Amino acid sequence: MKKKFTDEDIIRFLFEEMNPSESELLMEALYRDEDLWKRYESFQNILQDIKKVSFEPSEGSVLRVRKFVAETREEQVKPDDSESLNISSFSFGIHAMLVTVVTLFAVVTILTTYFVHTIPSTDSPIPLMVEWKEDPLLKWEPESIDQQIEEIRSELEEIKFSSAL
Amino acid sequence: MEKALIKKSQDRDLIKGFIAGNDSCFDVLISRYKSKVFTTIYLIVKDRCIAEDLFQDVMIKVVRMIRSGKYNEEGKFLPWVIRIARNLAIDHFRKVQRNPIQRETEDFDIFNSIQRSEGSSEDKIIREENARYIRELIQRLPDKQREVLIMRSYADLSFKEIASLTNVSINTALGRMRYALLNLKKLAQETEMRHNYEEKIHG
Repeated sequence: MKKKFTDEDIIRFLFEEMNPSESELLMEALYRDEDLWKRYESFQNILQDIKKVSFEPSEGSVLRVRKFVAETREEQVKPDDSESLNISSFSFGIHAMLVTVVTLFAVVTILTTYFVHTIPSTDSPIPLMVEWKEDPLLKWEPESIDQQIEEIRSELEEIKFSSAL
Repeated sequence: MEKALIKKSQDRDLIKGFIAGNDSCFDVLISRYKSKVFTTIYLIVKDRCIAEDLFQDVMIKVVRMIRSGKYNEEGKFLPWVIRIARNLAIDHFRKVQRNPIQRETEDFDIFNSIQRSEGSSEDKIIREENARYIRELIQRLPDKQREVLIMRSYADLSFKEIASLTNVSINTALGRMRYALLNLKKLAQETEMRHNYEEKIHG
């Protein structure tokens, strides 16, 4: 059964809003259906006439729009600025996170080292702490000049005392 | 070189360029669509001066909306602009609360406004006369038919887009277009008959 095309179909075809298979059927029908051809031709002629009408805005109107665009350019938020703002805030965030991580790592390391070295483990076969032996040499501290003078004076006193005896 | 590239760019790239601060991208958009937008407005409001004002208002609104990020990139640019133009035209009608009155001095403006084309001055005059005649016929159409005809023929909106814009079905939009074209033909025939009759009467 052959499809009967309406005026609306012709209009859709003229405005290229018909799917390819339907368009093909309509083109075939145009060859054999004289009435369809006449309707098609009539709509096509009217549309061709309509296309002849075209108006332009005045130069003044266009210039005013362009002037508005130029004058209000500063008002808009420049995307570059906002981008750089985003990038800087992003990098700031990364830096802050890195600093926090490094600080935490350092604190954990120090605390671990402290606890490992201060709490003796009795179970461990290897002594974690080397027992501290006092070395007198290490304990030696240089005497001050006053002390030395005092010592010399006391020695002299002793010598004087013994010679007096 | 850069200008040539901008001219060939797609609408969405031009809008991106404009948002990034390149005003020449918007210049290209104006040059590309000013005629379609203006013709649409003019045929809706039927008044050259009002159309000039509305054209500026539409373009300024377009600039503001693009800059404030209200333009949806998925949609087409021209249908979006036409939607704004139509809404502003409706607002205008609401403000004046009456149909626009055609001005006496309008014909002079129309002659200047018809798109300039190549050819001899005689051809140009004939073309301008034809365009004026067709415009007059279009303006005699019922509002709803005229609206569909303008939006499809001048603003390049699809019937689907027109249906969505005017809150009707696609079939209704197509039906209005059909009646608009048939009525145009009828009006043209009537005008021709009247013209022939007047010629006979006046010799």
